[in-house]
Amino acid sequence: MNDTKGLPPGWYERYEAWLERSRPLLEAHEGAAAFRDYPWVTYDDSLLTRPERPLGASRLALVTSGGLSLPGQPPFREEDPLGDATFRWIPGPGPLSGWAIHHGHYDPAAATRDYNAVFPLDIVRRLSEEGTIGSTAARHVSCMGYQTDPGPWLEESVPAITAGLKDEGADAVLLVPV
Amino acid sequence: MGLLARHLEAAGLPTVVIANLPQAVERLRPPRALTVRAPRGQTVGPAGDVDRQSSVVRRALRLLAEATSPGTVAAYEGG
Repeated sequence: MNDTKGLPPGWYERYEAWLERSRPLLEAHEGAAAFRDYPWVTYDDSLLTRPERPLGASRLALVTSGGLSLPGQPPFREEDPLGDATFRWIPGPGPLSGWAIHHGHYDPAAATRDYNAVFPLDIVRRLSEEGTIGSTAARHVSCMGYQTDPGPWLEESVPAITAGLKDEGADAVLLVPV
Repeated sequence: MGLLARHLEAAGLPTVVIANLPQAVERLRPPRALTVRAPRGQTVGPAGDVDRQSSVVRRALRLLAEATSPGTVAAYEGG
């Protein structure tokens, strides 16, 4: 029995207690102290789906949690102490122009110069051109990867991303956290 | 990202995570993870370092194709 998708029983009680204690630290941007006793979700097992096609015939999609957005898209709420569970579709095949990084929990200098540091869109495009992979998806995913409550991420964003990538005909997904 | 990887995989989409935070891999046990030694914000490689970025992505894709056990973790040889 889970409270919500994939979260263990009783997790929200632990989370609410943590949040009450830690909110002042979060608001003071003292993340390391705030997360010292965060009720991390853990698993003692994993799972595996074998690829149906060889790499050279597979359509690859990318997901980054680098907080990248494009002109016309709302930036991620980097100042929100509770984070941002939303995501943006990033159209391929690139190169991108005008991208912005709104994250607040890492140094964006490298990805501001070269998004491939956290979102290797140009790299996979070249791998597609040389035939190492079959193709790249027509759209990819950017999120922020920081939210204290994983509920909205699991209940809204994860199903929307999963359905979107399946509609896209993706055969495999490369995920790049920061 | 580990949570998303698990859900994508359960929905039939094979995944591989390029991971620079080993503790997150230990907690979330994504289906496949390539661990890299990289500062936050440079998981795939430094800005403009196409060789490193390509090498890391190629290694991750090899793991995607070759892993046979749930929760396979491989370390990127280049550090």
